[in-house]
Amino acid sequence: MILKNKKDKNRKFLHCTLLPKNRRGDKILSAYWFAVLLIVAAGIFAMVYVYYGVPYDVRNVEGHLLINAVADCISYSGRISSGIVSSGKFIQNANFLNQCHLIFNSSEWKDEQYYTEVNFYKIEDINTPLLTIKKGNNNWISQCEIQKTEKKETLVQCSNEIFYSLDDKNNQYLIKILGVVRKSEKNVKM
Amino acid sequence: MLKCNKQGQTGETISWVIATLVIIGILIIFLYISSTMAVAKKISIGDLITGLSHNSLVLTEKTAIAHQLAGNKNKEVIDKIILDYDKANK
Repeated sequence: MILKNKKDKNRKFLHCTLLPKNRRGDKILSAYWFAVLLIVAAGIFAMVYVYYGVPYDVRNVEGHLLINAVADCISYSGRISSGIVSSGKFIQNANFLNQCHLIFNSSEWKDEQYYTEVNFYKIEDINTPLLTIKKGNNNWISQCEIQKTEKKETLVQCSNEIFYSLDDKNNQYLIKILGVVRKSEKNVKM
Repeated sequence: MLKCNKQGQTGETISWVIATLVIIGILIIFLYISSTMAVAKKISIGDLITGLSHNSLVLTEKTAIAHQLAGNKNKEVIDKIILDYDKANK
C-alpha cells in the first residue's frame, strides 16, 4: 500500500513537472497581456485627448493687450492726446480710435471679434462719462452683462481697466477702457 | 486521472487580477489629473503679472507718470478709485 502511494506520487510529480503541460493557461495569459496593453493604450489616448482637446484660452491676455494698445493711443507720457481733449475741452471725435492702427477685421472670421470702449471721467464724478469713444463689433457688449452675473466660457471675454491722465491744462481725468474679445471657437471647447 | 496542485495557480491569478485593478486605478488617477490640468488652460493677465494691483503694468506706469506731472495732486483719492475699480473687476 505504501509502495503504491509512493508510485502514485512519483507519477504525479513527473506529470506536473516533466511532462508537457496544458497550454490553455498560457493562451489566457497572452490574451490578458493583450487586454492590459489595450487598456493602457486607451488610457494614454484618453489622457492626451482630454488634455489637448481643450484649447488654451488666451482671450483675457488678448483683451488686456488690446486695452494697452488703446491706452497708448489715447494717452502718452501722462497726457491725453490733443485729438481728444484740447485746452480742457473734449473734441467730439467718435472715430478717434480709427487713428490707432487697430485692425479688428480678420479673414479667419466673418464678423469682427473685438470691441473696445473708452470713457473719460472727471475724478470728482466717475459715474458720468464726459466722452465715450468706441470701435469694433458692438454686438458683443451685451454678453459682458451676462458674464458679470454668470461666468460662461463660450461667451465673450470682457476686460476692464482704469488709469489716470492729464490734459494740456493739467486737468485730471480717469479713463476707463473696456476690451472685449470673442474668438470663442478658437479658445474654448465648444 | 492525475491532478496537479492548483493552489499556486490560484494565487498567481489573484495577483494578476490585483495588478490589473492597480493599473486601471492608476490610469483613472492620471485621467483625472489631465482633465484637471485641461480646465486650468485658461491664461489670464493675473497669472502673468505679479503684485498687488490687477491693473496692467503699462497702465500703472501711465498713472505714475501722470501723478508726477501733476505733482501728486489728489494722489490718494485717485489711487483709491483705481484700486476699488480693480477689485470690483477682478
